[in-house]
Amino acid sequence: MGALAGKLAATILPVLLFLFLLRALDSFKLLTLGRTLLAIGAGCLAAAASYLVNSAFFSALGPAADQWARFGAPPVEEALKAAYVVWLVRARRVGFMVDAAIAGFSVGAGFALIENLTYVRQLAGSPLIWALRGFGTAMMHGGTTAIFGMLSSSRAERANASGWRTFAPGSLAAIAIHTVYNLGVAPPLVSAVAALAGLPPLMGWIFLRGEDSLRKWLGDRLDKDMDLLRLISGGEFAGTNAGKYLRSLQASFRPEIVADMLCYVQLSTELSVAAKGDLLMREAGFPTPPDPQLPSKLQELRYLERSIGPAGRLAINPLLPAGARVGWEIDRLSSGLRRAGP
Amino acid sequence: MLFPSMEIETTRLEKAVVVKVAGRMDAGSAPEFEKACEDCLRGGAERLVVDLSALDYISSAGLRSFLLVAKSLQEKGGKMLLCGMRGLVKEVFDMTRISSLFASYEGPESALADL
Repeated sequence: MGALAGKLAATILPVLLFLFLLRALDSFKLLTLGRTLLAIGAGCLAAAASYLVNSAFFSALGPAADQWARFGAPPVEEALKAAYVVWLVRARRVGFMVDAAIAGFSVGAGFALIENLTYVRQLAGSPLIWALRGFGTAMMHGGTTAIFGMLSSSRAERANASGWRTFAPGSLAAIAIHTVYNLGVAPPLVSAVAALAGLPPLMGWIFLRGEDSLRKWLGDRLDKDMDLLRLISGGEFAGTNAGKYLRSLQASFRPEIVADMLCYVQLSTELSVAAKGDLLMREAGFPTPPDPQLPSKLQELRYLERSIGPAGRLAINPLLPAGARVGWEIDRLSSGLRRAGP
Repeated sequence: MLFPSMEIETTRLEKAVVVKVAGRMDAGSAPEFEKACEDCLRGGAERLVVDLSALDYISSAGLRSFLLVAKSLQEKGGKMLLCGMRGLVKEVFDMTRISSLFASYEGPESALADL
């Protein structure tokens, strides 16, 4: 029992420690503990699913099973791990490389936990083998999904899209790293050392760059949002290019819908500003106070969304200051409200 | 320069240091505010009353400076009080809800009276 516990600790502790470090490095506390745990759970499910798929192929292929382990398993496992991250990116539950990295690494950690639990029952082995699984394989699983998350989130933001092209480079990178690892071109100890020496610094570097770009985005966008609100509340919006564009929509939409569009722009910008204020406070280490008006503002936003309709929302998309991140900001405020309770 | 720069005036009183800021607090001038406040903290001040009655503009860089100084003060057991918030500056603090972190007063006298 003690030996089993030791094996398990050696295999999963490194990856959990690295996950803890990533969460600690995140100055903005973008991913809540609840969502981190959900991501770990998604990784566990992905591992269970890939166990079933891989077992079926191993049985069917017989002597060629080794080839499946080298070339077939990596795409299957990476696709299953990626599924939850794809949903997070598409549903705007992650908005930046930083939270995408933590979510991805959490999925990988959950995957490694179940995979190692399976092997720990099946395989004997020295403590060195189990330390290798912990430092090498588990870190590889966490690292590849984190890299997938970071690349996908970055592309989704830049292209303001979430089609298959958004996810292709991250998938290819994750599958390539995983395949090279599984090919066993280097002895297991060297592979483990390479995974340990290569992936965390690479991720750390991308992670810190992501934080810098988030900080810059936060400053730039907050100032622009405030400028827009000043123009709207000061009655000067109509004279701007954005105001002229909105007026031009009267040719295609009823006047009351255009009025709702202006209200939508104003309200979503107000919420966007509140979400950015929340981030600034978190960055400085302050708890964010609950906003008693938030439920009614969110309710009004939903009403306006229904009133404007999908075509209207598409038409005013260029006027929304935070672009693709409006959804993420509103989700962030809503989840803060859910945490605060009724 | 297109805009008037920010001016900072600090007055050390028995209960607190009053920091009066005037003009525009943007990315260029916010570090001056931070430095002035840090000087006060190094000088032993634990309570800062920041008078914003003459501040016309504040950007995100200014907000970040306020939060950093407030955090430093909080870690030393001190606090920051704001007074004279008006117009655009008040709007920015309220919209971002950062105003909820600070006690706010009409003027420095009422802030000092509350200490």
